[in-house]
Amino acid sequence: MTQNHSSAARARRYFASGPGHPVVLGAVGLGIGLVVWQIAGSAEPVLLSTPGRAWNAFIELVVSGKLFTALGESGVIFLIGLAIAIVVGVGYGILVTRARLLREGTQWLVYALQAVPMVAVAPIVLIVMGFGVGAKSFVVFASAVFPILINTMEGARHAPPELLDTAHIFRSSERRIWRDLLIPHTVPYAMTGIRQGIAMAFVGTLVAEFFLNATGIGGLMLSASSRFDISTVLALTVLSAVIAVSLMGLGRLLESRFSSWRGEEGR
Amino acid sequence: MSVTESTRSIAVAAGALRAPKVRQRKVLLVAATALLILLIWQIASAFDASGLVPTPSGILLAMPGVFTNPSFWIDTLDTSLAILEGLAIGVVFGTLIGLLTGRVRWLRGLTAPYVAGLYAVPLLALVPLATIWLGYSPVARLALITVAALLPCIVSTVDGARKIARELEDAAFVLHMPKRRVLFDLVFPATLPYIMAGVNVAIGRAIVAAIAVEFLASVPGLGRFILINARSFHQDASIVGVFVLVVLGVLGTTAVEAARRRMAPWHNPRGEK
Repeated sequence: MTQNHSSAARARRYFASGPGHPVVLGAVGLGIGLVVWQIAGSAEPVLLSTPGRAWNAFIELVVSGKLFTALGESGVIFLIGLAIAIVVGVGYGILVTRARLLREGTQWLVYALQAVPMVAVAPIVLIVMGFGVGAKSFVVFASAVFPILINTMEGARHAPPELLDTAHIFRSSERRIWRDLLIPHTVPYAMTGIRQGIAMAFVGTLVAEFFLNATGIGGLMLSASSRFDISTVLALTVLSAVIAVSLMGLGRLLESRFSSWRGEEGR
Repeated sequence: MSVTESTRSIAVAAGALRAPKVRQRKVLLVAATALLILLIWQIASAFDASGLVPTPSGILLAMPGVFTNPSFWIDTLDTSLAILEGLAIGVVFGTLIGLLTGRVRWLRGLTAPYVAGLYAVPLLALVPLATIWLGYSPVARLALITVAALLPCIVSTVDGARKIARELEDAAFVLHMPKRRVLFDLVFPATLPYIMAGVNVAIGRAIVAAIAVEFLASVPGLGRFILINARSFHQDASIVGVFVLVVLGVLGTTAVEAARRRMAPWHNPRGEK
């Protein structure tokens, strides 16, 4: 018995062996990366800069206030676009479960539009809508709405039929069916969509700033890149990676906060 | 028993009879909505004085011109080949890195922040770096496509490599399989469906990467075709370009899905949850 157990344990080690806590390992990995960057950057300063110089460039952006202006500009279109995407995505997603004609008539369109990369459409948005806050928010909206809409549609479609039947038998009004049944049931699914939508909204923000007009974080990046200011470009690239990872963490937090609402029904 | 069975078979037969009718109704409905949307779009655009809004009729009329234009096909071929090349490099290296980091825990830990950061960051944010390092050139495009394809392949392969059935691992251990053989005869085939799922995500990202670099670095290709036409107010031709792009993406994912069914027919992604 014991021998059997120890051999199984050895088998485990054979396959998934290795020391270290994931967080410690991650920190060590980042440390190694910084050292390599420092060494490589000392040899090739024009192309690679160094961690120190990228940090200085970042501090420079903070001190001059440019970074906060840019974050504000990006934040506005991000929030407007995302908010409209959530309202439209969740609203329409629930609406189509109550209106079968609408669902069967438009579902194909949702999936078709979802396959269109927003980047490719950006120049057309530019000539049709211009490059104001509205047009840029529209790009954010169009990037974020599809995951929200599709997840909500999936969730609302699986609303338990027994409950819907019960509501009908008790002559529940349409408004109360929405408020007490459909929306609470759909929230956890919508949250999955919103998590994906948050990430897509950030992508959309950069698309808008790169291709409509150069404002915000994307604008800072473009202008630094056209000056070949590699330190600033690197600082901003790392910053946008940090923003993206944090937004994803935020989305995951939101999703798990509401996941307990998921009933056992269906699956 | 025979009663319920016969009622069931009657019900099934009735369902089979009804099925084509239901499908017919659905097709009609979809066609009707499509027509309605196109009609509203066409009529609404008549009120647009600027003439900048693309119209359904304009797009239709632009099609022959675009499709008979040899430079459009050269551009499309150019972009498609770059995407295929970048996908191939990204998938091969992504799979190798994924297999390694999936099986070796400390390596996974060391690389985790880079994989997470690079996967999360919008591809667009990497374009300025790519153009500074590699110039406003097709090389920058290829590099960005490769990075775009690499990340989902790594993440998906790691996922698959960690989910291998315990019994298989135990059997390999009992049989004293050398590690190299475990990797290529056990881990790789078991991971194959996950790799294909990664490739499917990679296709969409690769297309976005190609277009983004072509826009910003003015590299010839389908993306620049779209951009130039939009800028010179041939927005209808531009839309035709977007349409071709979407078709390319759908063709790619359909092909990968078909390949996955052939190469890993045992895998059932819907059943696993």
